[in-house]
Amino acid sequence: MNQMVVQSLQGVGLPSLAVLIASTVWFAVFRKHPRLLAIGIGLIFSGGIIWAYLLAFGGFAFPPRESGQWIPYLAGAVALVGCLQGNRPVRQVSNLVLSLGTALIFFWSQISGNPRALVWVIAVTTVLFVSAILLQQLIEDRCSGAELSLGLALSAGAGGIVIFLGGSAVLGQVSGAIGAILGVVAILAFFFNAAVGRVLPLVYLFIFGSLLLSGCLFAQLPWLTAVLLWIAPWGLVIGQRLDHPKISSRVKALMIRMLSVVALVAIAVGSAFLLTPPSSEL
Amino acid sequence: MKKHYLPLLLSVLAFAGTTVAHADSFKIDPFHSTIIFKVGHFGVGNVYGRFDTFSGTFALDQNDPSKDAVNVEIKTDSVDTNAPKRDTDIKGPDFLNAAQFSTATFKSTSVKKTDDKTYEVTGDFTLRGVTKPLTLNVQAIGSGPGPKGEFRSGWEATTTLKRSDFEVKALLPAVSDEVSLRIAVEGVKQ
Repeated sequence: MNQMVVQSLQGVGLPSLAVLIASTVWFAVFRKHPRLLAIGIGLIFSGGIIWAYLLAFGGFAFPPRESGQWIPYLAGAVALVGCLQGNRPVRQVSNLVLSLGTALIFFWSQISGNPRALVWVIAVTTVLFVSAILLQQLIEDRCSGAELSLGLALSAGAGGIVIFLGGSAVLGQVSGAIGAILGVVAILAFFFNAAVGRVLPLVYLFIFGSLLLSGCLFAQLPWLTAVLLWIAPWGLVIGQRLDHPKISSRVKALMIRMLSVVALVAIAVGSAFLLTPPSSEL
Repeated sequence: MKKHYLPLLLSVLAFAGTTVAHADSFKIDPFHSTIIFKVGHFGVGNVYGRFDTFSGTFALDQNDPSKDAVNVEIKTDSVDTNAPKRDTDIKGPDFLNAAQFSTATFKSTSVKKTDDKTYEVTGDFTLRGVTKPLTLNVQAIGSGPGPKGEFRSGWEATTTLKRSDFEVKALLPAVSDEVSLRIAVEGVKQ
């Protein structure tokens, strides 16, 4: 098999397998303890991302010099902050700090004497902060763990494809790994019929946001595609309205709730194929 | 009395001028200079590329080669492999990340004469924000007046670096770790 394909499969498969083993144990032991379950699944997800990054980039850079090199550190930091988040004011202040920090990772070096960079910082901070509130509260309060994880998995998995198409195999591999890891969590959350808590969506939000932003700023990922993938998980809210009270099967109900997410992801991938020049395959 | 000091002062100035003249300064002429690289592809072939935009200077001290110096700055977004889509990928975050690191630089730290016309020039090479020592094997090609009467000096340098040393690790080992560089420059005396 093609060497590059094998490497990519390892890069996606190994972290997913590790998350499958660790999450199965955690779900089995702590499914009745929502707080501990959320912390554990969030930390396992973060660990999976860090390993996926290590396999894709071949190592960590310290100190990080470019935005992409911050991903493993950001994954760890967001997971820890997510674990410590308690009441709403603390949550919102810490989300604001994380949002501002993520924006500065991208634009800090350009801020001096560059008002446009400041506008970027404000815009990215606002989008991340508002998204964090919406994802943690709106979706989580309305969705089961399986629905939420699967919605995020579809978006991140498709992100892997479009970022790869946009000319970054490495960032695409990381995004694809996140999609696969979330797919594993979705299956387990469905099987154990458990929630995944607030930490996992927070980690997803900042890491996937960073990947999309890197794809748009430094590779050839179209902004339209990135925006569609970013908003796709919110399709879960529409999906719930499509749910029919007569549908008793959990699998069918899950499929129906995913319809709007799948539609948005499909449009995003389609737009990438239309707007991005084909990869050179180097 | 002041007149007696004038010849002495002139002698000192003349001597100083002679000393400065030994370290001649040259500016790289981009129209008659080339920076090309070679990278292995899946172990079955080599792909060549070049950087179209670069600048630099070098100083030559005829009496003391250890005082020679080289400075080169390469614009990373000027990479050209005769395949525009591949160039876009190479400029992207997996390889040169030209949006964040617009230049690669070489600043010499020592020059050693190894033969009549060959030198080893060691310096700091900075790529993608990572600085590592790099040694160029340099050969003097020739020197003399150019078409407009300007004095020119021509050199060719080769070296091999590992891109992983500069944290450019994407698609290893399908795209080889070792990258060969060949730098041919003509400098115009300033």
